[in-house]
Amino acid sequence: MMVRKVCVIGAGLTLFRRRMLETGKELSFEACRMALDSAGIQRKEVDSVVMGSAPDAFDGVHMKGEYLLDGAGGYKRPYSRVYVGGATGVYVPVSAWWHVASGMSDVCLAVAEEKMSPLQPHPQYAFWSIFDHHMERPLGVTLLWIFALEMRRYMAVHGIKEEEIAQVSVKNKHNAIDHPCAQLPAEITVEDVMKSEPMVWPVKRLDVSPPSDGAGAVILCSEEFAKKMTKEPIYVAGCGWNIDSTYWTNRDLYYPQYLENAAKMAYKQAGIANPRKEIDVAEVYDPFDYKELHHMEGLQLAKKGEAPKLTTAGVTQRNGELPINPSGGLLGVGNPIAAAGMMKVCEIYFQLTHQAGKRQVKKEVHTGLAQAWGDLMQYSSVFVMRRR
Amino acid sequence: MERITEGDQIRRWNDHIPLQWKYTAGVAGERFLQLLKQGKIQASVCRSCNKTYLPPKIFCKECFAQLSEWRDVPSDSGYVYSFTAVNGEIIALVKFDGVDGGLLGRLRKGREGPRIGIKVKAVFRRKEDRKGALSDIEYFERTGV
Ligand SMILES: [Zn+2]
Repeated sequence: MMVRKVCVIGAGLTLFRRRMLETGKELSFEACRMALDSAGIQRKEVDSVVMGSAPDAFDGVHMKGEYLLDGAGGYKRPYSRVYVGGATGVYVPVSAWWHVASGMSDVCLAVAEEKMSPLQPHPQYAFWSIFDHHMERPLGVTLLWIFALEMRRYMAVHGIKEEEIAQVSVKNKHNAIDHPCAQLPAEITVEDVMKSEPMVWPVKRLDVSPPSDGAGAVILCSEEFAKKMTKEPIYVAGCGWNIDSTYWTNRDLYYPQYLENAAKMAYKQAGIANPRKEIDVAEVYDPFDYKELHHMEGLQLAKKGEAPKLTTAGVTQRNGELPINPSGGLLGVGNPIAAAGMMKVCEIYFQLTHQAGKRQVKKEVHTGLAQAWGDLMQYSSVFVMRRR
Repeated sequence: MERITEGDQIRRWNDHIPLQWKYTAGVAGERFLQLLKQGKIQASVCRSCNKTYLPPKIFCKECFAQLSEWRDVPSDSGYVYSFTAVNGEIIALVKFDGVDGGLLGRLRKGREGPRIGIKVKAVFRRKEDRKGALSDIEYFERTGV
């Protein structure tokens, strides 16, 4: 491939909260400002901007990309909004990557925003119309149905217990205690998760991440530019994205094959032959606790059905051999859809640059991965970064 | 491809997407609206770019600085930048001297018809009728000559 090397030189993240006074523009501005400050550059040095935000229905503003433009720093720049549902946050830096890799931009600002709180009576209502109008909606389907059916199928195929899955929520909410932006950090037990209110069996309240308002941003640039700014640039090692059938009736629910495809695309670019050994830390998408396990397997970080065992053995703890979601994930930090994926990209950047503070994983880290999942629950985006 | 000509012979139905929103005006918007309630118009200022933003923003879209300085925009310093007639009302884009941006509002009809460039002032509702909303400016009207 005739592409330039691309680096990440800065990251910024707002608080994640259930309801923020700030508009989406203001949240975007705060994240971008922090990212620019973190990189030590000004907006005038930014050549292009990629903005990511999920359904317009959340903010209640149609053509949200245009609405967010000035807050995202895109004014009088080549600017675009990308949108692949929940996978948006990790797809934004992928899109920014090709702006720089192609040589079109030296510096590209990648920003993701979500303000879910306006939508009444609950942000879940945004998803009412994603379902097929004659095959699914007549049943009164909600998004939780997919998750419940997927979780149940995953459990049945591998003989996994709800208690094993609950450990993920316990770990991530605990990790989030050390995240200054976190919305729902907590010390909870597996028993707490098991006893929490059933939503759509077997999905219970504490299996689920909260809706949030928030924004995040990273700065991508050419290797040449990065070397002027820092002695130790973080490189984009690989990008991948892939999508499966729109119809949940027509895809494997126990295993995300599309994620395996996306991961292999990124690993090939990164020259990673054995991800289990070569990925040092990963932020995998965890809007639900079982999804962390599902995604670890799709990413080839665990064999099929093995992720719960690794979790029980403590492998995925911050001080473990393969730390997963040291940030606290969506379960602990919060889930402002597009911004949540960007939070993961920021976390890997902070881990690789030793800026994660109390969240810094114990082992030495060289290669980290961020992944998100979304669209109609069949899309995955993968972003691998590396410290030389 | 099959064009529908006999609508009664196929099944069709109505459905709707039940969505509602509760908006916030944001940090700059909340302050702006609270000031309107007091009968004041203020804009935020970026000194380094020499820009004054109306509606106010907490950031400068040019240099991307965080803006904390605000200044009064005299409510009688407006002029009609452009206007149109909609359903018997005149809607004007009102700009103010030395200010970037402007406000949309109704223009009260005077004896003479509206013209681009005429000086106008914002007329606020009575204090007890103000709600901290854009409609606290009841209309703009021509000042002097
Ligand atoms: Zn400025």
